[in-house]
Amino acid sequence: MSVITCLAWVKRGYPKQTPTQQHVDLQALQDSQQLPESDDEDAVPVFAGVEYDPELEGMEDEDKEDMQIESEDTLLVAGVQNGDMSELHIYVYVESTGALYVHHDVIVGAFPISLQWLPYNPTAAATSGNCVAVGSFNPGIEIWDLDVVDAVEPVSTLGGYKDPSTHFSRKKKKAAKLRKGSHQEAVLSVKLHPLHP
Amino acid sequence: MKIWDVVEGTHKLTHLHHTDKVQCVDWNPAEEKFLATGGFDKSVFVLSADNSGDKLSWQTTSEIESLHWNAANPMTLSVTTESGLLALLDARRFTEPIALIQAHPSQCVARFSPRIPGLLATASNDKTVKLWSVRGEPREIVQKTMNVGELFSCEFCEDLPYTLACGGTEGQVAIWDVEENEAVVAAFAAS
Repeated sequence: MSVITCLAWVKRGYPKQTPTQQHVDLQALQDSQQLPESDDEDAVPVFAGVEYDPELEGMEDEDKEDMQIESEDTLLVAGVQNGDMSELHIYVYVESTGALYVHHDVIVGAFPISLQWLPYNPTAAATSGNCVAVGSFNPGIEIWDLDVVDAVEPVSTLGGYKDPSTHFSRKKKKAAKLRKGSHQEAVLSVKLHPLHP
Repeated sequence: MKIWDVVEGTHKLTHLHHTDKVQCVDWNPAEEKFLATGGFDKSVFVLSADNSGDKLSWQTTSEIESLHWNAANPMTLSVTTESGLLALLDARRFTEPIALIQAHPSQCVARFSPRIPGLLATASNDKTVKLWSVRGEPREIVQKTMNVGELFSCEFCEDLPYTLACGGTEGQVAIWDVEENEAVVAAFAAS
């Protein structure tokens, strides 16, 4: 049973034509002890030091073509709660044909409630980018890079838990400490300043 | 309600003017310091982000579900409630709504088209979208069942101004090119 809880259109001209693919080397991560011990069925590992593959080098040409964003494509982000899974589905909409399909999806920390598209990546704000801020049942506002296929962690979080792995673990949330200035509970609405984004 | 610096990743200011959960927030599209908030306390406020000056407030009888400033007429905003009420408010006469309409039998959200002045959509858990013209006296133009369950969200596309996306309990996105409807064309063709 899946529910669409919130939507946000992506402005044309901002998405990368060729999205970035992440390589996650599980063995290397385990060796570097980045994987938290799984003490909880809900726990999803929080990855750090993930290598990025610019231009989808590792993919077959056909797959690469499928992932291309064409100039007439418009992207739409949907917040989706699918059973216990909290996700963003990044759709491509082609106005001329009416085609609508999921380009890729992202697993987020908690039930999404509100989306705000951002025309930049806050960690590289000097240039344009393609991110979305997610208000959810978590007190932290996660910012995800929509140009990264298979992203496993947000590029930044406004407020939220001091220990970022808490975001994905229900058990830990009960006793978790929040960062200074954080919301204490769910974030129901997120809006970017229209004049000073 | 909190104000953040997204690039720095830092919290700047907290406003504590609501007595219950804050459901929705929207920056005014023209006045850089102004924003509106609505909450479970059945109140809508217009306030200055830096906490200067007086707050405007409006009370209703049901929890606030959504609010959206009208970019084409930036002193006015739409407010919807859990009971399906649509209110159009004017910041210059905040306690006297321009219109109070029972838009749907139960909770709904409202969004203005960013590019078609006066075009407003409401989406409801009655599974339908209604389009309204708020040029002059607000009036309903058309109602459509979207066939994706009870609706929680609808958004007009800035690049495709007649294109509305909505989604809800059936987990599917429905896209409606509202220009296919003759009544919509008749109401907004002149823009």
